[in-house]
Amino acid sequence: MTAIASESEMSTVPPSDIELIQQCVQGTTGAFRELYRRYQRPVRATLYQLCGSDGLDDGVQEVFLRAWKGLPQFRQSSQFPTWLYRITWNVATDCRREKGQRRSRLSQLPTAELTSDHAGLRRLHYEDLVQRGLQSLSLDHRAVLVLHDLEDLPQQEVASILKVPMGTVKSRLHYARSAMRTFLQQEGVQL
Amino acid sequence: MTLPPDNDRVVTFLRRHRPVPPTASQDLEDQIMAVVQSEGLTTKGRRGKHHRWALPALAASLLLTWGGWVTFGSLTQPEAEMTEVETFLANTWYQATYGDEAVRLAFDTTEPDWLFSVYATPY
Repeated sequence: MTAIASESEMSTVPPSDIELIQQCVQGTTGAFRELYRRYQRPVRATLYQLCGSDGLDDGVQEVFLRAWKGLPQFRQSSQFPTWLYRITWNVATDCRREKGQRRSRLSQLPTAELTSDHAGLRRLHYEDLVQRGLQSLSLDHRAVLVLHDLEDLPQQEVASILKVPMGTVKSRLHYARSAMRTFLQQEGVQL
Repeated sequence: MTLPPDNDRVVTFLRRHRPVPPTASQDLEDQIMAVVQSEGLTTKGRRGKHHRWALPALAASLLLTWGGWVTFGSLTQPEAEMTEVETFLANTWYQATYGDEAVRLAFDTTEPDWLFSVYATPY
């Protein structure tokens, strides 16, 4: 019974990223669907926090299509998520360049989530504050804050994604947090 | 990692109230997969990477070959030509020094130590 259970557990172990990538390179497009499902959430969240909601679906699509085309060149020595974040960062940079600097507005929030109760409104207000605070930072500072503090990536990985030295990541992080704190306090948030 | 209290509070606030992205359109995944399936995956990029180096490598090796031929070709003169040049130099030097063919001593420039005999000659 135990042997059967462990055997069935082994058969349900999900394939690793590398295995999926190898299947993709061999032409199995279904494996790419699995990669998409595995990583679409962090890619979407990162793009949203970096670029806002305008053209978000297009941005996500662009990231995954670039990833698909780049899979044959993907070096297996590097981590797939780091590589994917790197592509996300490139797409975000292109997106910002096209749009230019502009602030997100409360009207961009999904209206379906607007509720009349006090707690719900306060939550929306705070989310809007964070989003506006992020938009007030430069893209470089915002990227470090999003990747490290929100996506919870280690500083070494952030440095690798952004292709900057560790010291730069530390200093940008320090500045971004400080600017965020000032912004939130000016908006009346008690920290 | 332990954050300073101020930073700790900012990060906690950001994490608690991080903006939630709007939901993806329902067919986004299918759209992406449709493009992926229509385009396929070409591995030309990897082969192209090697090809990218082939042309500069060929050009560099041709350049090196030509450069080497020019440099070393000019250094290695034929033996007969070298002897002729040495004889000419010896004659010119001797004529300028003595100006008289009669007192000229015969030097055998084919000998390795012929130059010593020049210095040993009394003026």
